[in-house]
Amino acid sequence: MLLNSFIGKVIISVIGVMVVFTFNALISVWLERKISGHIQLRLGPMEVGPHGLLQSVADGLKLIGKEIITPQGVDKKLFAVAPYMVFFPSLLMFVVIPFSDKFQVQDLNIGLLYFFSISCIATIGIFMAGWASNNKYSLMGAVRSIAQSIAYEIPIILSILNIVILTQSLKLSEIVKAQQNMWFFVPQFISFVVYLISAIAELNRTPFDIPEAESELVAGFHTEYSGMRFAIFFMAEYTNMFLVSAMATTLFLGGWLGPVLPPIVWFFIKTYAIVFFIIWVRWTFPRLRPDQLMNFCWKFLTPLALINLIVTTLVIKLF
Amino acid sequence: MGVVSILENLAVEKVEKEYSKTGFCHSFLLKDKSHIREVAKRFKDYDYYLETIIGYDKGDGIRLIYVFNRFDKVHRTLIYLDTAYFEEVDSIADIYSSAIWCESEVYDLLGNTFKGHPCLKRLLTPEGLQGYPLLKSWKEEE
Amino acid sequence: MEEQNNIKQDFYVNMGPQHPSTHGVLRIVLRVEGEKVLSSETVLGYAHRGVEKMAESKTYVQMMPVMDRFDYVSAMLYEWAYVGAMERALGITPPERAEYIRVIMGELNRLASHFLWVGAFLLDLGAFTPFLWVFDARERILDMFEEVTGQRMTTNYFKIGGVHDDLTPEFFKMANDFIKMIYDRMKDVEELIESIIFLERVKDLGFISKEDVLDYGLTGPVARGSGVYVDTRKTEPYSVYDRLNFEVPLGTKGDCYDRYKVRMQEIIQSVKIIEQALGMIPEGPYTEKSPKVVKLPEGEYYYAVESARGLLGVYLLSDGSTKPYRFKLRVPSFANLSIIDKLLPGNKISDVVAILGSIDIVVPEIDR
Repeated sequence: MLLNSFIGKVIISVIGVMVVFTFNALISVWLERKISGHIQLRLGPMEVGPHGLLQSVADGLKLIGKEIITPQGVDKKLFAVAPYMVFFPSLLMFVVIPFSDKFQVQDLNIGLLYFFSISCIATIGIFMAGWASNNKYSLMGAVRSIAQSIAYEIPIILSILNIVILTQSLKLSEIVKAQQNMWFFVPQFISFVVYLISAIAELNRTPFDIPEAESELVAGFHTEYSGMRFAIFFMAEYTNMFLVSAMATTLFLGGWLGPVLPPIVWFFIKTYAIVFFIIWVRWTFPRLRPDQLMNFCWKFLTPLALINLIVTTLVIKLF
Repeated sequence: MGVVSILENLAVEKVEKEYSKTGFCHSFLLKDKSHIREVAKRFKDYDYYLETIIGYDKGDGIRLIYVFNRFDKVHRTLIYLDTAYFEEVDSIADIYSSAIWCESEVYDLLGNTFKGHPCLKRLLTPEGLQGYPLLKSWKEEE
Repeated sequence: MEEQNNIKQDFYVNMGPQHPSTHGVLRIVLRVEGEKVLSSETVLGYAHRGVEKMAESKTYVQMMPVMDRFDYVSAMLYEWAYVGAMERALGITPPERAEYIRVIMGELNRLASHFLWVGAFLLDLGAFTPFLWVFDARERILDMFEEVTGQRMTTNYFKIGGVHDDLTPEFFKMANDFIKMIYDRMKDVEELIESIIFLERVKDLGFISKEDVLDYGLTGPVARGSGVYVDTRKTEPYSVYDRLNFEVPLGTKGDCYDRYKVRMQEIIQSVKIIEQALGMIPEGPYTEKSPKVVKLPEGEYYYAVESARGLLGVYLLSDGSTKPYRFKLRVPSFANLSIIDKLLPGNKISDVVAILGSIDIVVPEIDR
């Protein structure tokens, strides 16, 4: 009775989201360090726990214990709020993800629209962090980051519009069910590629990590943050990586569809395959210059996505 | 083009040097200090590059050594220039751009100024240092 | 006040002296407008230790370990220049075996320096992995140094008349293993590095013309990248280089990519030299007897060596005593860096790291 009531659903949802989020943070960080280690001819963490599995726990404990330093001259309220402004939208985005046909917090009619609208709020948080830090380099990093975020939103939206045209729905569970015969990444391969590239740019990861370029601007917009506040930026990045991969799985790789294994297992396998790809790309390429980054978006990616959308529309109309 | 003929009509006096013993192919003592710019121009026309400018405190003055060399085969040629302490010498920074920093270093460590140098200032020692460290009369302050 | 109301503002950005990409304590003050660099000014002297003055109060032998500290990534090439100047003055020729040992060690040092350069260059551009791949190779070289000299970086191995210790059989084994693995490793590294993103970052950037090379006195890979044939090992052969067979790679356009390519090819050429020298090394003594008290005869002596960055020259002026009257080091990075104030304006801030990295400087040798 309690389980089916509204309060029960809310409690289970909150617990479920926190569990997924926490485990993802631990596992993604461990994956990143292990994969980067093996790519770089070394082993990665091996000390804490078997094959370093508990390394993330140790890191988390360390960051919690660090002193929170607030530099002089910062705008105290903005400075304190900014990390949470970047982080909370990520938690909200968990609401619509279809982990399986039974596990979805709320299957909104406008699920897709909700997901990408909420993700834009994080940009405000980045600017707050850069501005409030009272630091020339943080501000430059924040400005670059916002230009990048705004620019790469457009190819993302254009590429997912193709899926909306195919399924005529914004409801994520219906999009997954529509892929029963063929996963969408086969007919919509270009959209898939455009989506992945733009998503990596939105995440501010190499090769698009100019806002955090260590060799040029120290650490960009989160230079002045330490301890738990830095940890929140860090966790926001890895949560976003999971969310973007989850959305790619839902839209292009058939969500939780698959034989033999339970649906939720398929969902996580596919999502973490995309996470692995994103990590792999990071450790292989150098980074783009800011103007090359913007040129690539406006002069190549956006026209490609537009042409792709027109082609999809024509094909649907004619056949 | 032999070095002696490059430098004809200039007030130079040959000093004997043997390459295998010293590493220098030729050296010349420049008797007229104002000819240094003409010497540099001629070397540049014949594709010599300025390897470095060495200066040292002779005891009764400063000796500047301009070292010229070629890229395609070694032809290290020295031009000696004797000056008094803190004397001003013509700068060759507009002929050889490598002289900009070399002459700044000589000024920094020995005190000679260079007329026509674009921005003569201390290069290696800290700003505000009094005196010129490489002179033999340099005494370190406690 | 007026500047604040101006929409287009230029302001000063300070790179260094503590900065992850300036390869030492170097300070570059950039005047930028948005992303574009308007002018730059290099401030040197943060690592000035007054070594040339210090040399005048130390004996020749006491100066030997100091030579290592100029360029700690490839220390033995600097020792070679100093020892060569003294041997020229005293008229001592080292035995054949010592010459070959010097060549092998010199080329290993050149490799160590180029490996570090490749790693740091790519690290500045944002690619983390090549750094670790080449540092693995560099670690093996440092292990070889430790085997022979007991030290990894500042080795103090050369002495007047030869070297301090002979090569051990373990060294030959390590060297052969190294040569076997290095060709494949460099092929992998090159394949990893040369992605479209890297080429877009370094091609057509930082052009140095042949006139600039003559004007600024540039030597080493910086000059060779612009197509100027200058290599002290060929134009002013010293030691046994005239018996060894190797090529000098040249670039064509003189941009950052050509300088990178020249250094990558030099790595392969150095490995070939080491292979040949390991095959040609004769048996015999590894050092001459050197005088107990080193007193150079009166006069000036100069010795030039091809270091990893260009022509390195040591000038010694002796007055007949045990201490030099004047010691001067002609450092390649000094001339190579002087062109930076001409190359940077007009480029973007992100290009500053690429251009500075492609010139390959080590600041302690500039500041002495």
